[in-house]
Amino acid sequence: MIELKHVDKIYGKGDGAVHALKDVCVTIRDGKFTAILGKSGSGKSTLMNMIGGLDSPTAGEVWSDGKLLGALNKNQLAAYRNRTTGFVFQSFYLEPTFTVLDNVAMPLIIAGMKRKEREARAVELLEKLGLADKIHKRASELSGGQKQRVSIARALVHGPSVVLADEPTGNLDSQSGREVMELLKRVADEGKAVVLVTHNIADAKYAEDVIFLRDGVAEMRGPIAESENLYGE
Amino acid sequence: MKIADAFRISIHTMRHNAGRTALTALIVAIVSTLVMFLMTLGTAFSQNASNAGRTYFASTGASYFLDAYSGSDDERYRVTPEEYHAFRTIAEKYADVCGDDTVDCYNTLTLFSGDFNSFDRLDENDGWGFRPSALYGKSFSSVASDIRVREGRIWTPEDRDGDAIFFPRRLQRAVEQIGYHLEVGDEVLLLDLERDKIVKTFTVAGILEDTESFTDHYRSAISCFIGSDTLCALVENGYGTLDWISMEFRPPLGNYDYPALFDRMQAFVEEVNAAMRQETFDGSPALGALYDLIIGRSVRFQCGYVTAMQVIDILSGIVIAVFFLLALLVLLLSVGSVANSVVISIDKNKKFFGMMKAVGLDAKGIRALVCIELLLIVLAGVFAGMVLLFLLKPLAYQIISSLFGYLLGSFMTYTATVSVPLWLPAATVAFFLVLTLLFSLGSIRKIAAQDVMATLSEVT
Repeated sequence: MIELKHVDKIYGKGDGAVHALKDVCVTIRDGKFTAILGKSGSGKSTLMNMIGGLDSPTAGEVWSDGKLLGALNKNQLAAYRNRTTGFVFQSFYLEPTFTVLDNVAMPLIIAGMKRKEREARAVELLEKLGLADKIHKRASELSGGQKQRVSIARALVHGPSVVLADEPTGNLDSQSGREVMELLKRVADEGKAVVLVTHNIADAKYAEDVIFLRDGVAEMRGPIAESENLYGE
Repeated sequence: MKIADAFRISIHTMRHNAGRTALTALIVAIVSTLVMFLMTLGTAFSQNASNAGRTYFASTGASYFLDAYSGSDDERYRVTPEEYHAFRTIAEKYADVCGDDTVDCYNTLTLFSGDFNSFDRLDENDGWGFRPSALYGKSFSSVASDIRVREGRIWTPEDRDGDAIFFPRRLQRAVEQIGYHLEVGDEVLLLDLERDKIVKTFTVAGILEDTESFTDHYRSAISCFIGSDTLCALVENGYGTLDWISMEFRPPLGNYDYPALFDRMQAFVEEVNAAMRQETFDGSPALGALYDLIIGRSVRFQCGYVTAMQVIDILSGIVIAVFFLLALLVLLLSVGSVANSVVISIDKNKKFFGMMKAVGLDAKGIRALVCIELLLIVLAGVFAGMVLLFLLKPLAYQIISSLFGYLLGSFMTYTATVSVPLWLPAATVAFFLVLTLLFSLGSIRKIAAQDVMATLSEVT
């Protein structure tokens, strides 16, 4: 379980300071699909970065499975990211010159796992995600949807307790987007906590818990009804 | 991350950036060739200077000398009998690096001087002299001579403190001219002309061939030889002075441990000097104080070879230092472009590093990736540099050979050699790495310490 207690995040100083998060108190439950929903600039990516240990709050606390992230140093945070979290980015952040296999196995390479073991794990996952025929292809040779699936495989390969997906469908066509969302739903159904950052209500409807963000202020709520439009548009 | 994986990732990155990698490696190759060439010249000079010294030593040996203060006739500057005894004691301890010693006694003892009908005519120099006892009371022209001590070759232990005297053949011929044939067994008297007395009676123990004796060409004096202890006893009684002690040493035939032998020679010189009185100055006390401050010990006992090799050592050190500074200058001038390449590489790989950080790579891992890539480029460059150096080796040989031919040509036969020290490529790699890392430290530290999101946000 990840808990954010009275988290504030302010970028910059003085008159130019931007208050990205204001007294945010939210809980990410284990094994649940949680969406962080909000318009562009509402602070949702900032919130995800706090949860993933990519960024630190200006005030407040982030707790992950009883660990206070603010008390960890940079190396401990790197280890936290390597063991506990998996990231899926909008722009994939795959290394284009590496093979799909190497990209997926990267968290395991960093963890120092033996080559045979890590490759077996990555291959198994890629087969499960329908990418068996792409294993030895370079990441640059894949379509957007395939890249995002590879990215999801990389986020899952080391068995993290939480997968953080930042606008994973943002660069995909609607068909690929749907496939990716189905995949993330499956991951949640298999018992992992999935945190989806999105501005897309349709994507957020996959989630069991929703954190709605408006101008840095968070509101926790249950699933979004099929016909509901939170933006009121 | 395992080190093998770090290497694999770095090699992959290098292959992906083949053009930039090759260009950087080419710069490293050219610079390392120049650096290693300069250092090869410097070390070859040093090595050949040392080898030439050894060759000279092997063929001619070395000579030691304990001098009275040069240019001074002042009694207080002479070698004292105590100093000579100390020298002898130390020489016995260092017998393995000692030859026969010769003690010279200039301007003091004169054979057959002046008018010997009476003692009333003083010798020009000190007023005492030798003459065969058979000629005592007869008149003849003076024949000047020096007395010297020559140890270890023809003397028995008894001779050192005995009454034996050895005459050189030429002195025998000189005596012939005044009508006396000097032979082994004849008595020779040491006369104190000033005090009208016979100081000591010697027995002619042998006639030395001309090649075995000495002639002081400056005074045209011919030497004869008495035992060292005898001479010292004479000196202690006020007859004559010890002016010069010298010793020729030849290295043993066959193989010998040169460094150990040289160390012993050096130690011998130092120990003898420690037992000698320190040189003093007649003149300015300030100059004397300065001398004490800088030198602070006797330097009267010297071995020409040891001194020369010490000077060669200093010169070699200077030459190597000059070549090292030149090599360092070349490195410093060029390392900027290599460091620039590292900075560009870091910049180009920012997205990759950001991704690696996001999936858990820590600062140490980032630094390792950058350093390994640099190490591989430098290794490739220096390896290529070694190939180029191998091609340039004949040129280095030509330079060193010509230099030593010019320096030693008329003096001795010496064949120069040039070899590349084994440590040189490793040292070049180390210097390249350290300097490049120093030059690009800012960028490496920044990328390693930067937050993940900050790194990723800088990617365009």
